[in-house]
Parts: sequence; structure tokens; C-alpha cells
Amino acid sequence: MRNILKVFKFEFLTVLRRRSFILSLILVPLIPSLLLGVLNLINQDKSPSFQELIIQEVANPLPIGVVDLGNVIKEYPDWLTQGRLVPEASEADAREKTAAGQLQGFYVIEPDYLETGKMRFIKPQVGMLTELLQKNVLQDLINYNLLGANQDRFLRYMNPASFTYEYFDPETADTRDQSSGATYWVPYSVTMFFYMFVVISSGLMFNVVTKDKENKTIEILLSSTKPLDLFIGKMLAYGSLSLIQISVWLGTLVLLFNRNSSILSFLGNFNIPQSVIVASVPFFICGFLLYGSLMAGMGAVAPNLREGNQFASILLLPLIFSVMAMSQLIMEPFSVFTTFMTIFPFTSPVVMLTRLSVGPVPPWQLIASIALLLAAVITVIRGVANLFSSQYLLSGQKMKIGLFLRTVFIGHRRV
Amino acid sequence: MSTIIVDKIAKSFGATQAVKDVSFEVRPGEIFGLLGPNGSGKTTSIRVILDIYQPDSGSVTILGGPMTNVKLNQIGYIPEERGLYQDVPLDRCLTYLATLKGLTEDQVNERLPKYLAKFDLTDHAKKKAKELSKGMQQKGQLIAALIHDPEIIIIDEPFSSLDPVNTQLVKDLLIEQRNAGKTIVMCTHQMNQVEQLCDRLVLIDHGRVLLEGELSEVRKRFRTNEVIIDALNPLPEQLKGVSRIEKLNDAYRLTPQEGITAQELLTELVEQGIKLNSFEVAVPTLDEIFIRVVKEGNGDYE
Repeated sequence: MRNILKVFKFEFLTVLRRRSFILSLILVPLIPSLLLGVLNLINQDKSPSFQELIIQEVANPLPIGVVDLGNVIKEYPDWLTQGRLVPEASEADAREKTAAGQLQGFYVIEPDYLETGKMRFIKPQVGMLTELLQKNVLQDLINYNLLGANQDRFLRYMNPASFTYEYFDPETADTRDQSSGATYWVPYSVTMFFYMFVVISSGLMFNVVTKDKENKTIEILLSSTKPLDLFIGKMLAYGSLSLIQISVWLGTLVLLFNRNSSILSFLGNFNIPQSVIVASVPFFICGFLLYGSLMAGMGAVAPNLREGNQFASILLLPLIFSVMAMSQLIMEPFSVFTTFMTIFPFTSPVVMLTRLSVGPVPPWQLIASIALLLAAVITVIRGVANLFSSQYLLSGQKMKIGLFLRTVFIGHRRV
Repeated sequence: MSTIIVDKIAKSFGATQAVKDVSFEVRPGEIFGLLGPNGSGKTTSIRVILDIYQPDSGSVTILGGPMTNVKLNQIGYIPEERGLYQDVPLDRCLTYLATLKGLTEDQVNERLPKYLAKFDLTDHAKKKAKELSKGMQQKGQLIAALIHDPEIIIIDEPFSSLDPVNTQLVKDLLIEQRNAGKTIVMCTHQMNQVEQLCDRLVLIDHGRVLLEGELSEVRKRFRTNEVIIDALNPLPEQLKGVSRIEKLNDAYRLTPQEGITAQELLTELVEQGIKLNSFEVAVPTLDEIFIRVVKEGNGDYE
């Protein structure tokens, strides 16, 4: 036990003092923070925002003329045009006023408008924003008049339905706001975030064990402590380091989104659900223990870093598959496939968090997922403990993935 | 009481039997040579002694009983494949290894500067191992093996890739440790070093013990009664009581007939009027004994 703590302390402090770790811990959240800071600064200066530009445009005193040759428009209600569109008797009048700077330009509704929809816009200069806004107003004005100049009917036409949702089974219903960008952004981001974390942190275990073998320190260590103490000490150290990293990164992300929700409004309502934050700790820890143990076992068996790397990617296949299937997981969160991926222990550390960021997960799936994950963690740790023996650690033999998997999942076989 | 008793240990790896039947004893305060050609089972035997490997059969008794964590801390080990954490400063690496051997950080802080000074590494303590020369890394490993003041020092190929200055440093260190009452097991196939340092030895090959005993006794056992003479005048083709005369560079090796002693041979030479510069009984070198025993041993297997 004492040696576990010594191994933990050494490995933990060694990485914590490493410049690359400190830089990654600080820089990764710092870069988006700085970017948002810059956005904030831009927002605080005198240059008008997009919204302000629109308001300015709307408040522009110069109206646009409408020459209605099709006899479509009966009324120009102020609540709709706000004085932006004014009737002109003839094209010549409109042209004269435009030339005199009394109009920005003018529309000509052709006589055969009702049959062809044809319309002209005459203007002295290009103004994209003006066109965009006024065109909409003109369309609304035409719609209003086509609907018999009836305000209620027009407003109903503009907003024909206001839904409220009632779910047959709220537990399994997809209650997401389908119109919000966040509905898709959040699960994608959460999946990628945890996928990267499990892969990176378990990869650290593989590297550290292989390095001990390559720099020949392993035999000295084994003459002082038991292989299992080394294994547990290293797992604790790298697990803690990853947890620190994930806390700092995730914490910064949450803080950034909470503080800068207006700036990041283009992402929609990008709030990381509370359930994801709560579940991230146990699922990340279990995910790390599962894949970190497998990677440590691979490091113990592999004769060198190069050979081990070839096989390490095979072990990560379930996680890679989770990311590949991400779209389907998000689009169909209650399908049989998604449910399987949610409770299958080699995908659940990532998929469960994806699911929680999509919406509520039925309690039985949560319980089954964590129970199976714990069982897998115990099985793999016990199997890898067999591999983490002097016999394998000091062996330079060529590794066999079959033997590795058999030893981990079935039982100890001697090389 | 012997410090280490290895009793009929055997160890296999798959189909390969690295150690078949090895037994020997190491006594307190001696330098013991564990000898054998490459692949003979020396390193496996050491790993079994250190409890790194569990033997398939047989047993090891250390300091009067089976290996325990406390006893593990009373052993200093330098494996053949030397290694230090390459990206960690030397002092931090040595502190870690020393704490794994049961020292507190305060004890390490007290002892380490002395060892660094002794091995001329004080100025390099803050350097990473990868920034140190190979010789300096070897010295660092010696510190790791000695800093916890172990009762037993096990050192595998102590002189491999050392320059003459560092070889002498290690030899002096081993003698110093023996004089301080430590038991040293030296695993090597450099026979000249064994002849200079070891009190007793065991020779193993193909996982079996071929020879064991005190160095002087082993030499005596392999003595052949041959004599080497440096004669001032040429020898006759035949000499009474001599079965074979072999011309060496500037001497002759005489093989006496069965029952003829060196004294009788000397008398015969004097009677023949041969003037001698030197006359010595030929004692086989450990190299010769090693080659002979290993060859005979292999013959036994075949």
C-alpha cells in the first residue's frame, strides 16, 4: 500500500511538473477564453452590432417608393411598413424623387403581377441589407393586401400554428427543441469531448508503461515493489491527472458559455445539461479505468512502443465506432441500437454522456449501464493485473492480440 | 548461516526451461560470483532470488527465511540492463527509487548529497538522465543500489561498458562494501574480474550448476601438475618422467607422467643440466576452467 502511494506521488508530480502538461492545462481553455475576450472587446467598441445595423437601417428616414401598376396594394398600414414603403403614382414620379434623394429607390409592381409575380426594383446604388429588409417588408405588404387587408388574418397567416407538446411516454419521448442548433451541437461536442478524454488519458497509461520498459527502469522498480502496486499507483496518478484536466477544461467551458451566452448565441442555447456534468465524473472514471487498464496491459505485453501502438488502436475500436455512429445516436436516441450502445460497457462511457446531453435517459438504462461498466472494469483490471506481472513486463517476446484478449477476459495464461 | 540459499530452483517460460536445477549458497560478507555463458540462466536465477519471478519448483531463503517486503528493502540490485527515468532530474529519480526501498524523504535528503559527491555527480544532480553520459548514468544506478545501505548487493554484469577508470571505481566500491560486511553477488562472465574479486563462485550453464566452490579450491581442483619453465638452453626432445613438452612463446609447458611430482621434474631438469630462469606449477586460469567446464557440461547434455 505504501509503495502504491509512492508510485502515485512520483508519477503524479512528474507529469504535473511537466511543461507540456501545464501548457495543455492552461492553454486549451485559455485560447477559447481569449477568443471570447476579443469578441467581448469588439462588442464593447463603437462599431455597431448586426442588430444595431438592422435598427439603423429600419430607422433610415429615406423610404422606398412603390409604383403599383398591378393594382395589388390597397393599404400601406404603418404598423407593417413603419413608413419605409410609400406609394408613388407613376414610375416617372418615383424616378424623379429618387434622383432628388427623396427615395432610396422604388419598386414597380408590373400589371401582370398576379399572373407572373414580376416586379422591378430601381435603385441608384447597391445596399444588400436594405434590399433584404425592404424586400421582406414589401412581401409582407403584398401578402397583407392579398389576404384582403385584414390584420388578424395576416397575423395568423404569418404564425399559423402554436404547438404545445404532449408526450405519450415522456420517459422515452424526444422532447428536444428541433429548431435549436444547440439540440445537435451539445451532444456532438459532449461526445467528442469525452471520446478525446478517454482516448488521451488511457493512451497516457500505455505510453508510461511502455516507456518504463524501454528505458529499462522496470526491472529496478520490480526489485523494489510488486507489479500490482506499480499498476495501481500509475492508474491512480494518471486517472487523477486526467480528472484534473477534465475538471479544468469542462469547468472553463461551462463558465465561458454561461458568461458569454449572448456572444455565442449563434450556437443556440448552448447549455451543457446538469446531468452530463454530474454523470461525467463516474462515467469518465470508469471509462478511464476500463481503457486505461487495457492500455496498461497492452503496454505490459508489448515489446516496444511501435509494436504496441499497432494493437492499441484495435482496443479503441468500440470508442471509435461510438464517434462514427454519433449522428445516429443523436438523431435516434431511443432506438434499440442507441440503447445497446448506451449500456454496452465499452461504449457507454462516451455514449451515456451523449444520451444525457440529448435528453433524459430511462433509469433502468442508467442502472444497467453503470452496473455493466463496473463489472467490465473489475474484469479488465483483474485480467490486466495478470498481465502486469514480471514475466510479461520483462519479456521481449512478440505480442499476440489473441493471447492478450484471452488473458484479460478469460484468465491467466502463461507465456 | 548463509545469507542466500538457493535450493533446486527451476523456472520455465513456455517451452523454454531457463533454469533446471540450480542450488548454491552465498555466505555473509563475501563476494560471490555467479558465472555462466550468455543464456545460461544467471539473470533468471537472480530474478528468482529477488522474488521478481516465482520459481516453478525449489525455494530461495534470504537472511534466514522467505523473501518479504522488509528483506526486499535490504537488497540493492543493479540489473544488467541499466535504466533511469530519462526525462526526470537525477536527484528526483534517485529519491523515488530510494523511497521505494523504504527510506523516508528526510533520510534521502541527508544521504543523497554524500553519495552524489562520492560519485562526482553533485554538479549533475539536477540534470535529466538523458543529459548524462553513460558512465554517469551507471554511477547513478550504483547510488540507487547503495543509498539504502543494503545488507545484500546483487549486481548483474557490473563492468559492462565501463571505462577503465569507472571499472576501478566499481571494483574499489565492491571491496569497500565487502569490508563493511555486506554480501555481494556478482553476476558476470568476465573471469579476470572474478579472479580479482570473488571469494566463492558458482558456474551455471543450460540452467544447471556445473561448478561451485571457493576460488582457490576450484583452481586447485583443476590443477593438472603441469609446469611452466623458462629455460636458458634448448630442451631435449624427451625428458624422463615427462609425457609432453609444449613450446610456448618464451617458455615450455611440461606435462608430467602419471605419478610424477613437480619436485621430481625439477630434479630431472637440474640433472639434465638445463639452466632455468623460472619454474612454476601451472595453475589454470578461471577462463580456462570456465571453457573446460562449459564444454564438458555441454558434452554431458549431448
